[in-house]
Amino acid sequence: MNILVLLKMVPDVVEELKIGDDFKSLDRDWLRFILSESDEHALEQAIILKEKYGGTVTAVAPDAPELDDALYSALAKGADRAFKIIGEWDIYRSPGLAKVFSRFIEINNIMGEQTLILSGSQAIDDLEGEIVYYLAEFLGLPGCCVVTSVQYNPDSNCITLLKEFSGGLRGEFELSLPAVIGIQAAENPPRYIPIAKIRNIMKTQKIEEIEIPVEGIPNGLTIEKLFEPEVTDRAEILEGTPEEVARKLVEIFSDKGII
Amino acid sequence: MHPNRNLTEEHVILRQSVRKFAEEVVKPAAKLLDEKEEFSVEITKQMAELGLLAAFVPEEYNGSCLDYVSYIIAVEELARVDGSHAATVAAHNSLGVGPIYYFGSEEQKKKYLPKLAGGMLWGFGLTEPEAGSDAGNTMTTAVEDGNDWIINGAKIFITNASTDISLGSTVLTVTGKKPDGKKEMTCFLVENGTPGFEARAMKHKLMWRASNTSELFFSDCRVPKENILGKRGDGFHQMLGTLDNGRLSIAAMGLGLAQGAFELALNYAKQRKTFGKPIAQYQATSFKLSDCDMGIELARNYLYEVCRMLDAGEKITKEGAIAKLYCSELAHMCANHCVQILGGYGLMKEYDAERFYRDQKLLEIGEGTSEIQRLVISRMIGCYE
Ligand SMILES: Cc1cc2nc3c(=O)[nH]c(=O)nc-3n(C[C@H](O)[C@H](O)[C@H](O)COP(=O)(O)OP(=O)(O)OC[C@H]3O[C@@H](n4cnc5c(N)ncnc54)[C@H](O)[C@@H]3O)c2cc1C
Repeated sequence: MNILVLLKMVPDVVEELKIGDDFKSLDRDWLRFILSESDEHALEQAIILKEKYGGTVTAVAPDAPELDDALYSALAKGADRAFKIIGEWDIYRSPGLAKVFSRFIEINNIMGEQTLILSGSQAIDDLEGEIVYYLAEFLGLPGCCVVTSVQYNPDSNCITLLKEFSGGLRGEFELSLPAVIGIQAAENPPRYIPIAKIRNIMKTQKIEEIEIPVEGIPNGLTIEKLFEPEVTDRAEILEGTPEEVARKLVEIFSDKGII
Repeated sequence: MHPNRNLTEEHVILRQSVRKFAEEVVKPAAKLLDEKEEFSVEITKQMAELGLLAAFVPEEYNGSCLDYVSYIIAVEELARVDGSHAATVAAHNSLGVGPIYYFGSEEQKKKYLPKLAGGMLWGFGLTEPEAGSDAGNTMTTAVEDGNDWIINGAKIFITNASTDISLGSTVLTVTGKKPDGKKEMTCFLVENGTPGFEARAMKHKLMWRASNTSELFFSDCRVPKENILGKRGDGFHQMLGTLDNGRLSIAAMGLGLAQGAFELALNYAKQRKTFGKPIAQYQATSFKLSDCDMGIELARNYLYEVCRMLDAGEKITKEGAIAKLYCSELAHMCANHCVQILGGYGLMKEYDAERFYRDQKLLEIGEGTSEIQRLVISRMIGCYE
């Protein structure tokens, strides 16, 4: 099985977030970028599958600050190749990025009978969770998101998936390869990198850079305005014994004409 | 402030990886292990899997083959969340693995280093009840008997020597007199379980409570002459050389602890309000935090620079002493400010401030007290000539 993992860098929300002077983006001076958490899981799942069934893992990501570190880490964890798509990708949302990835796949002739494309289910920066479905559509492949388990059956060239629904429900799906999957959580938590591997990788492997023509790539939604949540004083905390709180509630409701 | 100034991509990725492990594995466990005064075999095994237990040893002995800067960054990142686990790694590498790797015979390296890379620990027995700062006063003796040597005496405060995964210790002994009348000292590699050798854990520590500290007892402990580290009579120099390098890892622990305490204090100060505004906006607080930041910047730059000197093969007796002294006193200041800024909460176990405050103190005592570092520096600048 040959696995392609789509990765994306997102702002580290542990750091303070400040809105930029254009009121449309975050202030870069205050940002640190990390690999999107669910992409970490997609990468982990890819490496687990490679360890179980053989094949290769290729990681690819649109250029972003601190991306090289994330790609070298992917190689140190067990990816075979890592690609960086050169360009300014800030303004592109899911449909645009899906187009970029589909062109990347075409240009590099990656699609094959046993290709599995993995990505995280949803990144914390836009919470769109749409890239998997756009890409599946562009490539004419089956797609499935919020997946927590992937098993491969080499005889039928099918994968069996567990997909999570709200309320703790789970559904089992079977898809034939090639397919595009959004990973919510890998079977195991993402592994730590053996530190000796880092040095080896830096010596022996390179991040491959590639350009993708941008004509005709839609950027999807554009952000008109970013703003901090407004502080209002509409919330009121009622204190006292349950009886007192209930009495105050009734008062408020009747004041507002609700009862 | 950027901890990665002037570092290579490799160093940056290494810092991220160790930080992630430290925050996700060590940090959540640290408080309870400290409280129960318990050494974690489990976490030590995980640190071995990451390659942290034979950091600068070449791959042929299963080591991670890191440069010294990388090793120091790894210790710094562990110390940023917990002193005990940083201590296990720092003592094992610098004091346990170091002497065998630098002074051991090929057979000794082949025999021990792969095991020490893989999760077994090794102690460094220099200090005795009557010989701490004054290591020349070592009283443990080894007497030749045919092909063996017989060791008698005791060591105290030996890190990593009596855990369930401790393989043995390097022990400094007196083996005779030199022609100039001084003691002839020789190091032996002594495995745990050797008859006549007992390693016993010391309890009730103020700090590093999840790190193992041991007393070693030798009574007619017989070891073959193949267990001499390097050559007979080289012991004292081996120990001094080991301490020169080891000081950098104590410095890294100071830097990491300072960083952890500073971050905690800064975050707290921005959130805690008194008299209607965050305490970070009172100069009494903000100046403390600026002093911490300034010290950390200077300490980090200097420490990495000394590591580069060591990587380049230069002698670092004075520079190592300066780095150790500066970083451990910086840790003292930052931990103290951190507790002060957290007020009453700083004294409660709920926050890491009190653990930083306790753990910091060892750094001014272990591997040569601050007074001894000043002695080393004053000798090096010629005060006593
Ligand atoms: C948790 C822990 C772990 C340790 N791990 C190890 C280990 O793995 N291996 C090992 O060999 N040792 C280890 N040690 C021992 C440590 O290195 C010694 O405690 C340290 O060197 C100080 O020696 P001492 O305790 O005998 O104090 P002393 O030497 O008795 O010093 C007492 C005081 O006198 C001062 N003093 C002494 N001489 C002078 C002087 N000439 N001028 C000015 N002041 C002076 C000292 O600075 C100190 O303040 C460890 C200690 C601890 C607490």
